[in-house]
Amino acid sequence: MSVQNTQQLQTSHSTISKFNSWRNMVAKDWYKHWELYLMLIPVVAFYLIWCYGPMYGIIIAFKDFSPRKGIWGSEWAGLKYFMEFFDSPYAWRVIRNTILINFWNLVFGFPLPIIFALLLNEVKNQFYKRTVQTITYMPYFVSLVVVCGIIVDFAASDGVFGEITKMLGGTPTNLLSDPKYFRTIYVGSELWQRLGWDSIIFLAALSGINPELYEAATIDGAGRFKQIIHVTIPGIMPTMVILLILRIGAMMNVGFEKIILLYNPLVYETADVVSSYVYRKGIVESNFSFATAVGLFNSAINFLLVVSANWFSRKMTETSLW
Amino acid sequence: MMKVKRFIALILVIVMSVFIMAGCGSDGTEDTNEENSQSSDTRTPPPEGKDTNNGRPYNLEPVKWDNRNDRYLNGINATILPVTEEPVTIKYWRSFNSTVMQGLDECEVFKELEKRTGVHVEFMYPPVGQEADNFNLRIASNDLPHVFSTPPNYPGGYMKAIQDEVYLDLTPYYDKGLMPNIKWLRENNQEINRDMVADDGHMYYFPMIDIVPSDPWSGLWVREDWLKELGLPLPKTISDWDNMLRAMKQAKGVAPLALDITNWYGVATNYMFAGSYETGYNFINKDGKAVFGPIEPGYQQFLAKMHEWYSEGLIDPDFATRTTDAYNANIASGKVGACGLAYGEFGQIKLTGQSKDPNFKLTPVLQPTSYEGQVIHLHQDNSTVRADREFFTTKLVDDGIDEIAAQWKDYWYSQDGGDLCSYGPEGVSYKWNEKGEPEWIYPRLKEEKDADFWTLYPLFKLHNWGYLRDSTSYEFEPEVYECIELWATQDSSWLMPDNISLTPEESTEFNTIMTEINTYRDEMTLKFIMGQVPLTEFDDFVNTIKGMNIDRAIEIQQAALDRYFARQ
Repeated sequence: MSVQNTQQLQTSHSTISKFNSWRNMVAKDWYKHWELYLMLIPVVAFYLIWCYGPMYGIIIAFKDFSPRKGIWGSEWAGLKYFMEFFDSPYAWRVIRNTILINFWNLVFGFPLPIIFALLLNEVKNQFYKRTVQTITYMPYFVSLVVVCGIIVDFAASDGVFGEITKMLGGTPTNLLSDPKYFRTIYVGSELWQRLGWDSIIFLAALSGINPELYEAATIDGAGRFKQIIHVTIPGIMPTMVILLILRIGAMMNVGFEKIILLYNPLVYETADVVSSYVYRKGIVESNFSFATAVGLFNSAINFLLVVSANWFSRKMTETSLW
Repeated sequence: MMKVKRFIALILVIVMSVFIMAGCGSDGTEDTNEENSQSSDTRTPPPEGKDTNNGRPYNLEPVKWDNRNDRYLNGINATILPVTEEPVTIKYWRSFNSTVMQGLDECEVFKELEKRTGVHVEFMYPPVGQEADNFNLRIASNDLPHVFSTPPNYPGGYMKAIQDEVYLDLTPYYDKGLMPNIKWLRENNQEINRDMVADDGHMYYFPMIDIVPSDPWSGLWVREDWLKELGLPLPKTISDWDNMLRAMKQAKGVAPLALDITNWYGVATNYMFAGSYETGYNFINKDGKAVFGPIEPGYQQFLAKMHEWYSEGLIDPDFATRTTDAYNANIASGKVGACGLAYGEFGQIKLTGQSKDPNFKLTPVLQPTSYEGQVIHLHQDNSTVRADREFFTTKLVDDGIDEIAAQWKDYWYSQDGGDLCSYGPEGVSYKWNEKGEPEWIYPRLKEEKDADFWTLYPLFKLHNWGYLRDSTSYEFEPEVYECIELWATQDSSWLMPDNISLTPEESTEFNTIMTEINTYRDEMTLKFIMGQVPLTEFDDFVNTIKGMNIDRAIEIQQAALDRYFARQ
């Protein structure tokens, strides 16, 4: 309640000296609700110490970091490591691959769990519904190493897909040695692993929709399909938008583990992403400054994307992260 | 109220899923320590008297160590024991991952070593898979051990670590005469003397030194039983290989050659076929001249041959995507007629292979020649001074035990110390049998049926540490002795020496250039072999690499090589 009061007061007094009113208000509020502020301290401390504190480490992106000299003692290098990244003949290729993999992942990996959740929501047989749910979650709990092992076996020339090709009269090839197929394999397996899991959030949101709305819709003569369009989807819209914004904010991230387990030099053309490139570079020499510089660049792009997606969403749908 | 609850539930779900996702990353570091050893039926006879140390006179008149293949070499015993009367503890950092023991202090070697020298070793283990993080964290927070044993690369190389006062320069202790055993080794063997020091003549690390020079551990193998069936001789030339592979494909209906490029059983390590065309996958040392293999004309011939074999279906169609396990499994499954292999893997492959086909027999062969009268200069080989290194840190000085530590570590390079590390304590892990050969008697070797020598050895002997190693102190299949003998007959003088050293500046510049070039080379090599890029574009390939500043990288290697040869 107090937060709302504060906001109302703040806006109503905005004509007079803003700073004074703000200070008065904090003082007043503090006096009234000091127990609440006390309870807030651990939370604030948590964020300061664990989330904001370590951020000063990003300055090693601008330094020739030497572990012995520490972060402050190392010499300044300016933009050297950023230049090193952008001067690399592979910089644009890895950025492009990162974005494309994420783009396709978003195109398929975002709507499908929603559709799946909607379908599941319409199933009235609880036993059947739970069974399907459990089966679709399961791949998520399979270790990445195992999943990638399975993919490599399936994609081999004598694997499942090779055998199918042979049956249909084609010549089996190793799918993982053709740059054309890498994104399909990556996104497809990602979908297989995460479809059920990602639908949980939407199922949770669906269960929160007021049943009276459905009753009202039925009385108004809406069939099942109309109910989905006019009740269900608007009901989970805020969740969808927020998750979409979060995903857009991770557009520059592709975990290197899966890439490294799946790729080989033949498919670098489409498979080499920023993180795997930095990882390869890191094997040669523990170059923290370079890795930090690239990481910082990634975060900056992600930040920009999330802010613009948020802005766009606020304009269009009135739902936003902040 | 309902709305608030719903919102909270939603937030909880989101937060939880984020945490779960964050926790699901897996770390895939792999330990790829290669084994090496070699046969010897000519070991030094066992010493007289049962107590190896006290009853035995110091060997003050050493045997002269004349050449690499002299198998009678001994160290000396110049350490006065115990090294310290007061109890001293040395903190040892070393990565450790074992299913048979809780910690390295359970190893019989350290129990005995403490009895002999009076020095207690306390181990510090980095978390498995986070060795590099832990290493850097310790340096950054100045929480150093006394010794870093086979650590990850220090950023900028070990010379930088000396400059940063993390590692300790060992030269003063050597000059003070605190390392008599090492001194003897250096004075009596030119190779050790050259390879144990950096270009400036200083000693910075304790390397593993092979008392019996360790010979190649990776090379070419063929299925001898198939050859017998087909009536073919062991292949000696590239055209023999042409015939053999084609015959195998026809008879068995498989793609007979298991090819690998970048692993330690592939072209990059053992020069298979690239050596036949007088080039390699990385830098080679053509009679003192540093050369980058992939831009040599021979590399084009190598690629052309591989492409020919690939397009005829003679090479495993999945070769580009095989992991180590998949590669080994393929060989063991009996679908492979010829392959590159490191002998550390041989035992398991033989076991699996014979369980499916009792005739399964892999036999080592030499690198084939590509023209009449060719002498091949490239195959996988090791120097006497290996690249497994241990570094002292400046913490020894801070704690005032640097001199004791130097004397103690020097003991690892004496005859007795080296024997202890290589074999474990006599009577506990081994005994001398009637033939005068060491015989493993460690009880758990017999008790545990499903654990073999290679799983159990950390309980009673050391492997890749800084000590004077008898590289025959392992248990091997007969084929392994055969392959070592055979491969060692070929010349390996074009290899880049293991112990050249770059300055911190050179090292940084070199790595920056080479990361890009290596990426390009890896990609293009496979594309040429698989025909995704025609070989007519080989000149473009060379020009692109030149455009990526390979000349500067070659210059750096050349300078390092020149300095190396200039060492006294």
